[in-house]
Amino acid sequence: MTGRLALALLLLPAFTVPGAAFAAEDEVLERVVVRNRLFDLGGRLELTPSLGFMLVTRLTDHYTLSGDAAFNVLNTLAVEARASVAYSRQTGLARRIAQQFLQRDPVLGIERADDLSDGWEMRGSVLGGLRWAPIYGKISLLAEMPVHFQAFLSAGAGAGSFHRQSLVYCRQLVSRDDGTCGDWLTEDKVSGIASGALGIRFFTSQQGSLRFEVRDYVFPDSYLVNIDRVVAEAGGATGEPGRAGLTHLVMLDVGYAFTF
Amino acid sequence: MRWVLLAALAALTEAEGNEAAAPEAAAPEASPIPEDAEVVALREPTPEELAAQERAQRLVSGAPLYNPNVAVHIVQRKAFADGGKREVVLYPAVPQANGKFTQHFGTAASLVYHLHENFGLQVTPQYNWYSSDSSFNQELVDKVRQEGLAASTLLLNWGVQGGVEVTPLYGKFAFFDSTLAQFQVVLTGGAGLGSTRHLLRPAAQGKPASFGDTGNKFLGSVGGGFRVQLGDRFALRLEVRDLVYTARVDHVNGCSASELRQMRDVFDRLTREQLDAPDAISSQVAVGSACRVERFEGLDSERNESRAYDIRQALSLVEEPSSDVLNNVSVYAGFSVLF
Repeated sequence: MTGRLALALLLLPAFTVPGAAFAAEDEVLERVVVRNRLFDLGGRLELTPSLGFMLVTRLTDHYTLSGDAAFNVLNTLAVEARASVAYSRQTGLARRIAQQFLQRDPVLGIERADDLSDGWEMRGSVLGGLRWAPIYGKISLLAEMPVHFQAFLSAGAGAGSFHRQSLVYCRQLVSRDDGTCGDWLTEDKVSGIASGALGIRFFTSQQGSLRFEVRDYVFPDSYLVNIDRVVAEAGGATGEPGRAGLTHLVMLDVGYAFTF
Repeated sequence: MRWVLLAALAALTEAEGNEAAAPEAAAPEASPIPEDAEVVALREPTPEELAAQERAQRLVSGAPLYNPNVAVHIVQRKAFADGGKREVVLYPAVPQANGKFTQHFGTAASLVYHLHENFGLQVTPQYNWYSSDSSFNQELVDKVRQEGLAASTLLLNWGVQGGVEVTPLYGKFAFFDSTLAQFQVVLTGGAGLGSTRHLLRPAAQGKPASFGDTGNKFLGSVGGGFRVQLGDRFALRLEVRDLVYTARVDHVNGCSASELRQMRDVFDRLTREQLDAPDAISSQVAVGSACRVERFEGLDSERNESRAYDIRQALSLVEEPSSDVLNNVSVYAGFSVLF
């Protein structure tokens, strides 16, 4: 009896190993497509031109042209530098608010006013940071066309150039009835800026990928409060810096990354 | 006569047989093997060729994967099947993503019946437990005495919409090359009904805001997102949905502009003490049954003042009727159970 048991134990691997090997082969078929990366980025340089636009506009609107240079230290980690120039402007809503406010005679009401927050327009920025891409996957767009993708988070900081035109501080009234001003108070500044992004890239070849990202630019806001409109319209200096928070510019960025 | 026919038939058959036999007899003479022809011998396959043949016949998951003469298109088995299943989804947090003049936070649930693997029917009720004007709109009111048009600042209390859900794309991803997850791209579309309201007086000095009911509106919905499968029965969902509704403000609490004007006239005549009476307004106006005058009279215990103070603000909303098409884009993050 003991001899049979020993024989059975000896023969058991002979029956189980082929089965296990077969299962392992199925396992390979099931998983290898994702676990073996078709597109390796580690140790490679990439350059990405991109265009961006705002998802929700309030007082300002921005369109950005950006260039991103990144070195992929690992498949999942990259050091990146980013430079952007922006075409920015006040929205129609902002211009309408300013016009309607100016039509109100300060002598008849709202003699002192605070400027509105989030009125700064970004003209350009330079950022440096890190990109972390822990997710690599593949999706089947058509039966014979699997597309490999990578999702990433990006964070960085740098400096930006900004411009602001007040909505309540008019230094030269042209027409009260029409609400037109000949010289709105404008300001320019260079200040620190931080940025975070959540994105996804779809690989088109070993040399390129299409990138989509939602990017938030954050920078300190500032504006004047307690503005004496009568003094302002007479060309005098008035107002004091108010307590302002942070301005967020949330943009959708679309670009193509060239990998070398 | 019969014998004549049989004889003729027999003669014809014999002649055909001779014609058919003639080539066979002549064949060896037509292609003789030359005497100096090279001699060939049948060769036994080598062990390597035998192994290759055996390998070519081998089936992997039922497919001749190693057969060079067969093109095998591997369609990977979907790890989890949805067809015929039901799915209950809870979205605990549904924040509005595009709030300009309004801001909504809500909770939604969804019941999906997957008719087929990639197609299902869904119904989604949603309740916004916070719906008020945005901080941007409040800033406009505070600093420049302006605000968004009534129709643009309409708030969505709740909504129910039903429609279809399509999952055309299927994929998988690895997190740090170690954890494998299956996901689907989810597209939804539907139509339904939503209840709307409008801010009448904002919260101030510790008093809560007051709102006026602006009626039920038709809702349309489109959306898209991802569903990440967790085992056989659970999934995580992240979607963005756009609730589209036409907003026209011409009634507040069911009362039209002319009915609100009557109420305003009464309001102007009464003293503060008289306004606190429960029927201060309704006893002096003649309005239609749809107009809920009780919403504009009596003491509001939370604000500790008469509800009649809302009449002027309500009238200002409907005196110049405004209309807009609102897009309430929200992020739906939730989890689901399949059964």
